[in-house]
Amino acid sequence: MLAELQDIKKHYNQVLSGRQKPVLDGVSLRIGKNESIAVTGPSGSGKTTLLNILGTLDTADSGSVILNGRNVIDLSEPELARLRNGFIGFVFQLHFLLPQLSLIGNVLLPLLPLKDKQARKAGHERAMQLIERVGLKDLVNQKPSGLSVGECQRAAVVRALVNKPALLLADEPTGSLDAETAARLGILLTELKNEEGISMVVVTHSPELAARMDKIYSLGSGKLLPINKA
Amino acid sequence: MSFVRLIISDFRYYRKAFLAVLAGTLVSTAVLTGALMLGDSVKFSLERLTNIRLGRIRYALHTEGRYFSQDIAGEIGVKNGGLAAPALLQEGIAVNPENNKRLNKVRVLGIDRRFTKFWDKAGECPGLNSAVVSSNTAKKLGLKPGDDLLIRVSGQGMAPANAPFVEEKSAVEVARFRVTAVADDGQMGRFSLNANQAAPFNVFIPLDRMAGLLKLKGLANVLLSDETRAASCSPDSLFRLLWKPGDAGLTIHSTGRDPVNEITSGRIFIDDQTAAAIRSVLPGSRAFLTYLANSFSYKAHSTPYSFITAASPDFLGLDPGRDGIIINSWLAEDLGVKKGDSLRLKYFIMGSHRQLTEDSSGFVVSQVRPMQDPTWDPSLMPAFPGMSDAGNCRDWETGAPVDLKKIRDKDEQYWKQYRGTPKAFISLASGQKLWANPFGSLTSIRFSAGKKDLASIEKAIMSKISPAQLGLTFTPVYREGKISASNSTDFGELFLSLGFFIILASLLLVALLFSLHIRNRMQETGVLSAIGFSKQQISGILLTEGLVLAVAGGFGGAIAGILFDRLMLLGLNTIWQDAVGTSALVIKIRFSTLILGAFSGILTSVVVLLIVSYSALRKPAWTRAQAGQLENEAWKKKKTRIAVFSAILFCLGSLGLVAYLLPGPGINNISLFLTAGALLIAGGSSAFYALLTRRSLSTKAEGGLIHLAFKNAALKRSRTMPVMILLALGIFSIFITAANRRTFFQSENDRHSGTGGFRYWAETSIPLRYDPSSPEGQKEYSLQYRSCLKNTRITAIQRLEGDDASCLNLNQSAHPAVLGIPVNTFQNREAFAFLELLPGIDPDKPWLALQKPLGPGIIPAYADQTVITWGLQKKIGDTVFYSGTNGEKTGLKLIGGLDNSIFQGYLLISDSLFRIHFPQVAGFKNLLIDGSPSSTDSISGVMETDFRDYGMYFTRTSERLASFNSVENTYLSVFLLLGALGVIIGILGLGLVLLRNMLERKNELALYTALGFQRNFILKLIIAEYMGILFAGTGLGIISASVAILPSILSPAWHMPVTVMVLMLAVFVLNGLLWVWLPARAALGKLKDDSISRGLF
Repeated sequence: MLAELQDIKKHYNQVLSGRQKPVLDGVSLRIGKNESIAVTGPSGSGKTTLLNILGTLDTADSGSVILNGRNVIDLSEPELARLRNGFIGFVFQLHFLLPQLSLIGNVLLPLLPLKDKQARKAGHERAMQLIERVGLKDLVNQKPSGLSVGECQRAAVVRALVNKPALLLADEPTGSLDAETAARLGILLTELKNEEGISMVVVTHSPELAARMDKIYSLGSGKLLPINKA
Repeated sequence: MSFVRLIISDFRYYRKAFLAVLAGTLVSTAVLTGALMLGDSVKFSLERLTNIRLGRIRYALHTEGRYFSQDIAGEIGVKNGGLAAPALLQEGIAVNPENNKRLNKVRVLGIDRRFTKFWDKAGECPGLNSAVVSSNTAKKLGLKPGDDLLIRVSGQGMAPANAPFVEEKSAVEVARFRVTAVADDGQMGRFSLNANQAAPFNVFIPLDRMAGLLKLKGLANVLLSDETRAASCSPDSLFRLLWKPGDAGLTIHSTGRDPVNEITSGRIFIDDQTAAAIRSVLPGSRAFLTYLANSFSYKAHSTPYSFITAASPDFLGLDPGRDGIIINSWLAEDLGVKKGDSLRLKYFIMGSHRQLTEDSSGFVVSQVRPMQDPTWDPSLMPAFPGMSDAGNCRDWETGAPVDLKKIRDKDEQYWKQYRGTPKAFISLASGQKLWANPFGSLTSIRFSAGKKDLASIEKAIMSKISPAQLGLTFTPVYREGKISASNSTDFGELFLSLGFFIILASLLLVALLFSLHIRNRMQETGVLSAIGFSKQQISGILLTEGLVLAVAGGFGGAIAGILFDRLMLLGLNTIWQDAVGTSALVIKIRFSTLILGAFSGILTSVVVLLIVSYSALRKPAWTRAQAGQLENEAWKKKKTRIAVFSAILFCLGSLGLVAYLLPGPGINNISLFLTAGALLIAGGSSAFYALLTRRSLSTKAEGGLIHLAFKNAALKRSRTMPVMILLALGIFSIFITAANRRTFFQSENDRHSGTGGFRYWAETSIPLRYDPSSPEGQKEYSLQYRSCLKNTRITAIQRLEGDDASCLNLNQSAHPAVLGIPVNTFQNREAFAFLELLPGIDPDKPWLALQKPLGPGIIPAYADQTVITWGLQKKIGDTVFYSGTNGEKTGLKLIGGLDNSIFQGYLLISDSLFRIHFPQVAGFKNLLIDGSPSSTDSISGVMETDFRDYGMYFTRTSERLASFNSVENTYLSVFLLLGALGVIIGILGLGLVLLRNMLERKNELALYTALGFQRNFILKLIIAEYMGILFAGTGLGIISASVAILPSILSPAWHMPVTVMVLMLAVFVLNGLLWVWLPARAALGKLKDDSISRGLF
């Protein structure tokens, strides 16, 4: 098993009453190798929270997150950072490319924390391959401000994959795109998933994108329930 | 990609934000470094002035009332292999006869060529009947080479003015000189033995001429020496080695009756220590004390004005005993007395202020000796000035009133025939009991010796006396000058505190800007976290960027500090000259200070940036990645509760403190009122924060512009609060500063004020021998005929010269001038107010505490608290030591500190103790005068005319106080200016917050437009929101300051520079309006249709 959530619980305080509201109420999820999972659900149902906990950007109130056989609760902040750097790739609804860097600069950013020069060199080569693969070769020196939203999002996908992660986490990756671009990105993600042999968890409202995943789950009232693919 | 490249990219992309942060660090470092450099510059300037005023002079011997031979200077110079010069220094008056301009308190210096050699730039030595004047004297009197100059000095002679029978009338000598040169600062123009940055008014005349004027031929009272060549050649040891009887004021001469020799003193009386030393060397010597008797009387017969000698029994051949008297046959015949008869002897004894009281004693005639007896020796009469050389008794000019009508022809005959031959002898013990005085109890010592033995006797005597016993000691003036300069008022510290608000405002601006910048990059840090950057790596990137900015700002600021230093020096040398009393301050750039300033700037900036970064990065990565602000509402409520509680606590504390202080003596406790004001700022800020937080929690839907503006302000309260607090603190400081400007509206007549209720202050250059309020003084100065002085009370005060320890002198003072004040007069008036008294002193009768000596050689003294703290750099309970003319040390223990008074610069002791410990000071140089306000001009006119020859300087006490206050007020003006700059920087911060908010609220503004809000309404909304913050800060500052300055407000002397304050507030508000209006208008201007849609969708 590549990754697993065990009985995850998470609460937030309610704005007006100040009372605690359960967002995730004993959620469990197992992610196998090369498996893709879509998580759907209404807004505010806790999808992003689930993804953040899985990606170690947030912590659960209780429960365990097992990544690559290790419980993240046992890991220090630097170990978590290394885990996010090598094991996980993130794609957000907005691309979040750094405006001060060029496309290639953004894509190579995850190589910076690596201390191994060989790994960085290999990462650089891989980045160029991926850029070519996603059709951005001619735009490597462009700043994000000179790219379309779709191009930015593709660059963000390359950035997420540059360190060859085992698990790609995508939060509404097509949420900010028009239908055609969204469809193309959906295809790209599944193709890359297959080419790279990685696992993927996608939080999405898009039925089309969800349909491309191996499994679909729905999150509501703090519970994660599987949905049978039609 | 590397970290360096990433950071370079950041710098390129965020250059505007970084430049703003850089500007903030630059300003704070510039003020900090500039202030430190100002300290260096002032110290350097004072040290430079020490070099200028002293040239190569390293040691100086300056005596008050004692004189030594000019020749010893040459001998010391030869022995030392260096330069030594004698001089005669006295305060006097200079007049330009051409334009009648007068200059009081001029230092008249008799010098010879040796004196000019202490300066590298050879100055002209005044030749016969010529004078060289300092450039400031020339400027003040309008003199140039070739002009005539009148000099007026007191020709006292060698005898102490206070000694009995010393000629009464002050011999004010006037002499005309031709100015031949003007000595600039590089020559001897600025010569002074006192550490003071203000240039003295010097007039140099030939030494011999000066000695002639002062009746001190061949003598000097100043001896200057350059560096000693060897440790054994210290000027003091050389002086002791080389000095001769004449340097101690002694003369050894033959009586004309070989082998009898006599030792007498030019000071009339031989001081007791010297007499004891002489008699220990000459055990067989005979001692004499000759005194003037007012009369010998027997029954109805009386013989007026005769000398009587108290002599050793071995001289008389028999001991007349305690009550016995040996008289000559002339007196016996005149009185008709014979052996065994009792006669009455009347004589004067010296009281205070030269007041002579007649006393009498009865003696029994033990022997009548014929006039031919060799004991009747006219040389026993000391050389009383004005008497010994008089042709007739009626020509006597003595320090005692002589009723010339009593002098008979036979008395004149006696004088002609026998001169001052004593008419009677009594025992030495009896004479000393009656007539011993502070100047000695012998007038001559006689011994038998051959001429060839005289030299060895002289040597033995001089080796037995120490020059230090006579106050003849050298002071390392150069070293002390340097120490005074280095211990001078620390302008670095002063301007650091004056500029503190700018530093604070700049740092707050740095914090605000950096926090806005980091907030702008929250998503970026979140993304970096998400892609595997550790917190340390992210912090590393941000801090490296911050460090680069801090280093650039630090070093840039240090360089800019030079500009700040220059500007402040320019101000001090010109518009703020009141604070420093000189325009000679020059810049000094020390590399170490630049580095210190740079690193201090870097350190403070880094600390600020660290705090900001830490508080930003402690938020969870996911909130940063989503750039969301999922605020914890419960925590928000908790914060509101804490804020409300704090507000209530602080406000109640403030009000409670005021309620406690107001009714009682606590009204004078300025620090507690300041605390109350500060508590109110804390309370008001907490209340404002609570209001904003509550408003942000509120879900009420009521509308209105103000409501909406308030809600908006509440949303970004973490940005608005620091700006509001900064404004409040700035206004608070400025108002307190303005309110503390020292004024004395309607308070100058108040006896508790700094004037003591006295209306006028007068000083003379030449001392007044008589108290002008005494009958003798009234008569002497013809004051009894002055109708305008009828209702005027004059209090005469004696002064021991010393350093100026007032705030007008930047150097540290070691020995301030001392005033002997009439304590009973002061106590009866309950004059002046004290800030601090030693425990045990009755606060209702503080002046009486000055009357009791505190131990052998220790007497109590008061001084202005500012003099104690700043001028002397001492505290209550410390003692300042002074050397007397007999070398004895007198300690003045500071037992209390006066509130800001006209006595700034002086130490005050009781007049009775003054006369005991400083008997060498003759006459009065300070007067305090009461009089009706209507007669100001006439009193001033009369006093200045009648005392013109004494160089009287006459001023209102309120004006004198104002001149001291102007120093403090100048500093307050500087603070006001720098504080205002700080507030303006704070308002700039408000503008930057607004600018940033406008960018973030692009969508909101677009929405308003889309909803049909008119642009003017939106502009009003924004202005209302931010001006609200401005007004809240300003209002809180004013209210808190009003509480803090409540004692001043309630004081009748309170005066606020309302116009200045209103103008300043107007500048703040307009400046604020500008900084709100500009970004708001710019943001609204950008709201074009396309951006509306972009903003919204």
